[in-house]
Amino acid sequence: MYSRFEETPPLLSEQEGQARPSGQSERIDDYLDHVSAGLLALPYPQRAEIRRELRQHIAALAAAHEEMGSTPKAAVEAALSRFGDPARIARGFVQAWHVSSPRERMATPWLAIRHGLRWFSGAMALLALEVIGLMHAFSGPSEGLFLVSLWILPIIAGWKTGAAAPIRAGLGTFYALAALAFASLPISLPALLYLGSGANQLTALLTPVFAFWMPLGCLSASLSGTLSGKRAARFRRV
Amino acid sequence: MGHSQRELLKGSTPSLILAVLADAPRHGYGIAREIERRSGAALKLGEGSLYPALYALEREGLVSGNWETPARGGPARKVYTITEDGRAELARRTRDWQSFAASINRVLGGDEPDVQPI
Repeated sequence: MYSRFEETPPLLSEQEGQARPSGQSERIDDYLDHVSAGLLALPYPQRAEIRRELRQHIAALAAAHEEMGSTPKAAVEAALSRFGDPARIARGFVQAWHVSSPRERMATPWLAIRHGLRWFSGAMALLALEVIGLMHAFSGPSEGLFLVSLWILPIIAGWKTGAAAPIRAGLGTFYALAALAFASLPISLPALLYLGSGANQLTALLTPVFAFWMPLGCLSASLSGTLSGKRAARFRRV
Repeated sequence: MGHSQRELLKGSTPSLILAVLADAPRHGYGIAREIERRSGAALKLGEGSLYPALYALEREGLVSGNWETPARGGPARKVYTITEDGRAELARRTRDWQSFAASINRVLGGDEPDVQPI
């Protein structure tokens, strides 16, 4: 049910954005800016969707007032007066957000890190199984599994992290690094304790993680973060 | 609309939205106009309370919203549809409201309890 909110609303057509004379359009934008300012507790895609929906409704109300003979300026003012105090609307949304689904109350950075953590931990577990199997020679090395755990999973993990942190492109990389650091804790902590005692399985496991995953995961996170950031920028004028 | 009516309306907004959506899917503008039409313009639900209420209903899974492009062209609109949970909630709210209204009537009206429509 809630996954729908993570979907990106469809893009605004150019025609829709230019539907009203610029003065009135600015007045509506100004009003929506005041609503949006109170919605910072909500994730960005939801803020963008709310803004887009309110704008359409205001434009439709204003058009109805114009049809009844109002001037464009008076029509927009009449429409906005039906919506009332922007801060009050924003409070209504934020209240609804806090009342329902506590799972989604997490701040965006934690959502991003959680996405990354889920995938990096999966990859870490797979790699650990593979390396331990290799060390104990109870199963032969599987090239396919290595390909997946060394190359494909860190790319997916980075991509997911970056996409969940769409506000600024660079943050995707930072969150991916944080998720990677968290995910590798169960292995890197013992490895640090063993440091200096010569080569062992743990350091063998950590080498590919830091040699491959960091650059791959970060590259992928910054790429998907940049793409999401660009898409978000196109919504800013919705 | 007096102050007491506004207060009553505030608490009933989710019920009104669910009732209007029970017939047909509508977008926000359509919901506001339909509530006005059905109440003979007596209930003017401010758009400022409509959208937060819709948002809450959507988050609770009682309505679902989808962006749809109208067949006659024009920009995509977010169209809300009532869910099965929403219908159950509407039935519950209608029952509660009727029993509440009946109780209030008995106290205010005093003499004629349980008047059934002919």
